[in-house]
Amino acid sequence: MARSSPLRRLGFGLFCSIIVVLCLFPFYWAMVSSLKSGTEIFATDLWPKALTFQNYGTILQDASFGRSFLNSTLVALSTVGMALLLSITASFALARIPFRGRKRILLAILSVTMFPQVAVLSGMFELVRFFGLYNHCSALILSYMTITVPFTAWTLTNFMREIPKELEEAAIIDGASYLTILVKIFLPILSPALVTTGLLAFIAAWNEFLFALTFTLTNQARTVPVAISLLSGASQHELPWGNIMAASVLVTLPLVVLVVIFQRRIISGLTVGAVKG
Amino acid sequence: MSWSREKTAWAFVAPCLFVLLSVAAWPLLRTIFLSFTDAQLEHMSGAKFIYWENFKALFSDKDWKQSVYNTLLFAACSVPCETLLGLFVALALHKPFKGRGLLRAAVLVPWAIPTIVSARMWGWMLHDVYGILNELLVRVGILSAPLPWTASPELSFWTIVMVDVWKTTPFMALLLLAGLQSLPQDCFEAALVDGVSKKRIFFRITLPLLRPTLIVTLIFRTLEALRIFDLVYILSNGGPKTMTMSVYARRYLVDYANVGYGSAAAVCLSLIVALITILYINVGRHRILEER
Amino acid sequence: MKHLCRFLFCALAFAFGQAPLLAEAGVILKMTCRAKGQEAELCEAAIKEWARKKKEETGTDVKVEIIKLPQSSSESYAFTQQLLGSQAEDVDIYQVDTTWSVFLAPHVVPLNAHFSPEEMAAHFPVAIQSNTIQGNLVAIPWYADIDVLFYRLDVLEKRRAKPPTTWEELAKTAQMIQDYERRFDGNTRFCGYVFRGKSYEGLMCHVVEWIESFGGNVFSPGSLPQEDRVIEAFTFLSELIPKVSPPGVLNYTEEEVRGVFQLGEAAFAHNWPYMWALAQMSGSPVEGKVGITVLPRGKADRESVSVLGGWGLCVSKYSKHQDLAVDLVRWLTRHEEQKRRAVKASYLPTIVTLYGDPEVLAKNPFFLPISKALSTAIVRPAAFFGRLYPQVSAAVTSIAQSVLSKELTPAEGAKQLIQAVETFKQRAQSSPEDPSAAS
Repeated sequence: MARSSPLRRLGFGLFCSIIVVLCLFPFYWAMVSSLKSGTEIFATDLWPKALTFQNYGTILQDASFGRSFLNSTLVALSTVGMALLLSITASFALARIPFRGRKRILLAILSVTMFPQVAVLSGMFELVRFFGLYNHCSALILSYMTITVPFTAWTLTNFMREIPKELEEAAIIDGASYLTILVKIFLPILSPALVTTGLLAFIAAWNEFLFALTFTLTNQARTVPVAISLLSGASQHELPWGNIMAASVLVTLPLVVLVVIFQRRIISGLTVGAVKG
Repeated sequence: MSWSREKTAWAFVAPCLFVLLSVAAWPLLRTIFLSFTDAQLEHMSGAKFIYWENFKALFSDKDWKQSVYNTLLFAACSVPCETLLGLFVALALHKPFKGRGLLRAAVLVPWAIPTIVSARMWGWMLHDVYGILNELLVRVGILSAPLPWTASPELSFWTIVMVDVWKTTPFMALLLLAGLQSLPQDCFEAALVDGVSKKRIFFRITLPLLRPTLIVTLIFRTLEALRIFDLVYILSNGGPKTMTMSVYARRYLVDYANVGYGSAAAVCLSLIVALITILYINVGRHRILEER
Repeated sequence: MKHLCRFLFCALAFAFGQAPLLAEAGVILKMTCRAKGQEAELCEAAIKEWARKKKEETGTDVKVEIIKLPQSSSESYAFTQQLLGSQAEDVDIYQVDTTWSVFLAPHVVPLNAHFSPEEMAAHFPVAIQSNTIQGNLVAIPWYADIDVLFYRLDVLEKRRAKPPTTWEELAKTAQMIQDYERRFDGNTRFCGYVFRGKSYEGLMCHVVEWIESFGGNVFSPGSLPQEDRVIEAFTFLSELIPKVSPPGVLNYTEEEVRGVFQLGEAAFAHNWPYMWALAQMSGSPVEGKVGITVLPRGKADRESVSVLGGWGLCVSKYSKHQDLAVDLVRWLTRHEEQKRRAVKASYLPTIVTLYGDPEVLAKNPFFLPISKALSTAIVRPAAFFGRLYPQVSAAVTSIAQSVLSKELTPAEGAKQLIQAVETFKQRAQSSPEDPSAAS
């Protein structure tokens, strides 16, 4: 990289800037819109004529929004935790332990996500009520397993397959159990993959809407996307764009912070080669 | 040894299978069962078994055919775009450079915004009279007059593809980046020492090594693309020209309260998804399913 | 890793241990409500008053919990369907749309057993009629909604035009104004006429209004459709885009129409009355320049037709506190409460006499054209088509969109429309329980 020509470096810089602008512009627009008031929100000025933080005030004063934020955090963290826990062990067996039926298991796991969400909604609703979890955060955690586990299990199986065989063979000769191999050798190497899949699963759970709307009833259990969709203007039909944008900015920021915190973890995998050597 | 090994493997897999089975089995079996009945939302208990009637009706419906075509075209257009762009971004993020953290955080933003919000946001930005996108493009001179991005049937399909690419490229990029990060570094070092050109390294070493990750990522992306719902539901004008299979299924399941027929559509959708997944696995010859 | 596990267990314990916050003292009623913001405050105040009165009368503590409904009517419908369909006793009172009646009928308490004939007669007959299924009143009207025509006072005055009384006049005036604005005032984005063109229930209302005001007779059960009249209506529609309406109108819902009108970019807007207060709010570019009138007629010798929208309240059959719930519903929909809502927040009452109330009219001068529209309002044929209605609506809006975008000629469109609606009529009449009518 250091030796590349200035022209190439310029091109690379340009590419990165374009990507950043394309990714961030809608977010920027949401932020600008959230700072506008009244009719100005329909205007196309790139910067509001008069800044107002009123929209943020409305959102932050709403106690139920704080509650839904807490619910979302809880649901997303628990979902990711459970999904990773379940799929780390499963994918270790699927990737590293030869046994009969693993092909069928992998396909069965995948088939769980093949149905459109709206089709499983009613069945899931009955299940949730049967278990008495209706209007309860745990109903969401449970139903999100069908969304996240197939993804995490497959991705982790894939990454575990890529780890060189010599590593575990040495450990097996040393008499280590499978569990020790998994925890002591595989997990450290896999940390970038774990962080990435965890992050993607977190976002999936954080943003899920249909299940969250159907399986919860009161503000005590509702999550952020539902809360946003339930925001509404002073009169019927009116969509409170300013409030919706402010709320979207508020819920996206923690995710950005999360990425900034975890991004070092994503690159720590560069040491994979070193471990092997 | 062999016996206990198999036992260990099952012990490792069991919790995952147990949870999935207990959560997913009933909803899935129920949908499959209902697809063979004439169940209506108002009187589910009075549903009669009607064998393949729903499927026969489904296959003769031209709206269903149109929505199958739309969905396949959508997946065929958006997934390659996302993969290619995602690969570029992943390669860029793989290089150490100043501001990489910023780029990584920025790239994830589209994926992090809840779809119900970002779809509305795009609808807002793409509005033909007060949308910022038309305004900017007209001001810069790329467009001579504002375009009805989401209203015209021809345009709105591509608009939805565009927004989907915007939204899901980060997903691709991040997974591929994780794949790149876990490649053994020594191959590259050896190749560089031997003076192999960067282009050759990419096509001869990086890409083949990345293939397993690429295929898994593609499988999940295609799965999602074939089930696309929110974006179409919010952005399109609701006509049959932009209808996808999921939107079609929802229409019958919820709006028309025709649960049997809607379930049949859902079952067909998942069969198509399954078929394409198996195709991917076989054509991509992914080792994930090979016994070793 | 250890920390992670510990955290997880704590989180899970918290999630599962979270007991529903049910105070055992007294009764808790749950009510779905689209109320937010201003409406929610109104609603809560009324409920509090009711609870206080109950406490005085009977000594029971009643707490009412409001459950928000999604903004979009079809999502609200799905939510309500899911709950009532599973016979859930979690919610006692539902806020419901006038077109849901057929689905609601088996799941709700028939209200005519609880409301006196006088109480019911106070409402607009059309509002009661749309909520009545096989003689059972499934929901009592709470507030009405009706399409009206908004126009720009200043722009019409500038061009010396009068508010149109026929659709033809509307198209002419709109085109004249649009041409002038674009050509001479350099306002290139200005449109003549905007309406809700997305393929959804909002467009269905428009289509019924357009066709029936031309005398098409397509949607009323048991009457003979007039193909030539439908062709007239469709000819009007097919000439709208792009002459007086922007191509983007085919994806407009309520708020897009309001956006364009409120920015001052349209001469006429066809929308619900809620737009009035927002367009007139201080700081709006069209503040003080908004006129409101009944929808134009098809021809000078025909009637103006508006479609009734709006919401009612119903009591779930699965509720454990039906009598209390009925009592609350009566309280919320009675004369005084509707008046309070009209005066404080301009909600359209469903009680006829309120439109003659000086206090209400003083606060809402625009109620005059609305009461006129309400007295001649018709209902969408939801009750007649029953469970087929959503399909009818989808088919009709799809054909109308094709006519609007000129994919079908007016004659082709009219033929297809009549054929589609007649087929559905036959199916609806033959036997609603017939499984062959399933798809």
